[in-house]
Amino acid sequence: MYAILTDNLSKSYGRRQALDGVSLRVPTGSRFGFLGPNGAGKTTTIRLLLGLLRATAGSAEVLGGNSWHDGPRLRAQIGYLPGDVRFYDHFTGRRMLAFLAAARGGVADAEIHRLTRQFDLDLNRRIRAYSRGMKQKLGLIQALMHRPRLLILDEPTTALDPLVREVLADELRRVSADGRTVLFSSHTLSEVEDLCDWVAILRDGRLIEQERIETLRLRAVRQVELVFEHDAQAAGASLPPALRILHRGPRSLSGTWTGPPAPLLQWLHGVSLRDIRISPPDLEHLFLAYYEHEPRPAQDPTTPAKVSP
Amino acid sequence: MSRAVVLKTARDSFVLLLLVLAAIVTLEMLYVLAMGRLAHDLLDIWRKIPFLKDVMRVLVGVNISGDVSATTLTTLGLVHPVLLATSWAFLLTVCTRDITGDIDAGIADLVLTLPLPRAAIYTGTTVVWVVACALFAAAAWCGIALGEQVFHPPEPLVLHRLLIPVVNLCALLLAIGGVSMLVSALSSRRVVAVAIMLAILLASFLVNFLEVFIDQMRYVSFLGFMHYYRPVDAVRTGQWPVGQLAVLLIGGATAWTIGLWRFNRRDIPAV
Repeated sequence: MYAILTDNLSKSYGRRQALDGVSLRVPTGSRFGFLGPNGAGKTTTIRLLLGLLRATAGSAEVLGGNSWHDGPRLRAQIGYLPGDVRFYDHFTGRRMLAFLAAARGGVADAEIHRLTRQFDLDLNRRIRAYSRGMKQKLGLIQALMHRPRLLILDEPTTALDPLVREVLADELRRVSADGRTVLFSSHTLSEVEDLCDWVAILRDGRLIEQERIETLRLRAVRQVELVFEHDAQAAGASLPPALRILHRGPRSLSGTWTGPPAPLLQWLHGVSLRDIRISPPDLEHLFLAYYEHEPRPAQDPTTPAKVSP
Repeated sequence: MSRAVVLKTARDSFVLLLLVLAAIVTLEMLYVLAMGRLAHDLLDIWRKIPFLKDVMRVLVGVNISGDVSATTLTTLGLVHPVLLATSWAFLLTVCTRDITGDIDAGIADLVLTLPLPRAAIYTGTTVVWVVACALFAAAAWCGIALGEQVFHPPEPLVLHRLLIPVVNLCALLLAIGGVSMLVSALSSRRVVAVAIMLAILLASFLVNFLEVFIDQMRYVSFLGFMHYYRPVDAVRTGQWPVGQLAVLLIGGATAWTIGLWRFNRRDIPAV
């Protein structure tokens, strides 16, 4: 089951194509990272999912309903933190939450209290006196307070200190442990890698990858350094094809290994080494490659073969 | 309609509403006082300076000359720029806030992603400014009535006849509110919506003004709001300006309805 299912979703503003044929599959209960550089189309996708924008072509299904036509019904089950969250400055935090809760038809006070404690936020102050980080905390509380089935967070860690990021990470784990879904938009790989189990990468309005983080790690590059027991061994060694040599000395080799580690270990078994160093998979490299190279052609929406929740 | 949106919009506008109401009541009371004391002198000045007479004609829609009653003169308070400017400013403030979907000023991203149909936000906002229009018109009448009680003008005022321009004022404000909602529904930026509305109101005033001096302007003057607000004329004759009321109310309702239709279908982009 998918919490979000888009099919060839496109959005253009006049001649500018903001989103081009995106077929996104977000498994129910996943913590789904939505990565892309600024201007890649992440916010446009989110606004389409929330029914704030109407698609130029394609469709978007959220929690089994059409994102445009079933908007109010769906939004009752969605918690949303905008990228640039704003509140009524003259309200106190408490009054702001009370208004949002009333508009949602009521929210359990206990959950608001729990979240307020978790995020350590003073709700009695006027919002104009809040720092940026405090406003972000208030935004997170309002997104979480009604225990939504789908949580959409647009760059939620902006302005949060490391401690609060940890609190947020715990909350998101709790949400997905309940079988609820998190869509987490970011342009920073490291936080997506920490918090999410799935990732989709958007570039220039096109979806260029969506995969489990674990699977991506297998495709990621490891730095490998080998020091051989004897001189000239490095020159004469027959290397496995996945090992790409970047530097070759008389007794040493350094390069990169792409793919699962088993074949590398198997090959190393037959080589006599004095020293070895293999780095953890470097996703940063992989993602930079996605950002730097030409995007793949838009995928066929009928064959989302990589997704297997 | 959403009760939460109505309450929130009402609370947002409460202080401004009180200020505008207080300003209107005070203005009208002072007008009664001024007209009681200065009416004779003012009429003399208007008779001697034709340009001023024209300016008054622009504001009230008829020539003020000869014998005019205290009630007619008091009606001038219903076209005073302070009354019009404050009430219009309130309408523009309320109508453009959430409906433009301006992320900076309207926190539209939060309000519009609540589980509410857009129509509920639109109608919830409307309830507040419609009530405000009625209150502004009532405040104008109450100010005059209070002024009479407090300052005892030399000639008693015919208060029931003043209800006609007060209702006309209410219809004028409703029409401006309706058009403001339409303009807001068509705009993604609050500042743009406010600028367009100010331009419309200024043009409406200007067309009405130029009509007095340039005969050809009468062919376009029907496009301005002020063309349908002629309070002195109504007080003098005692006739309800049914046609003008109908144009204002039907025009305002039509603009409001188109705005609702548009607001339901429009994109709310991140700006």
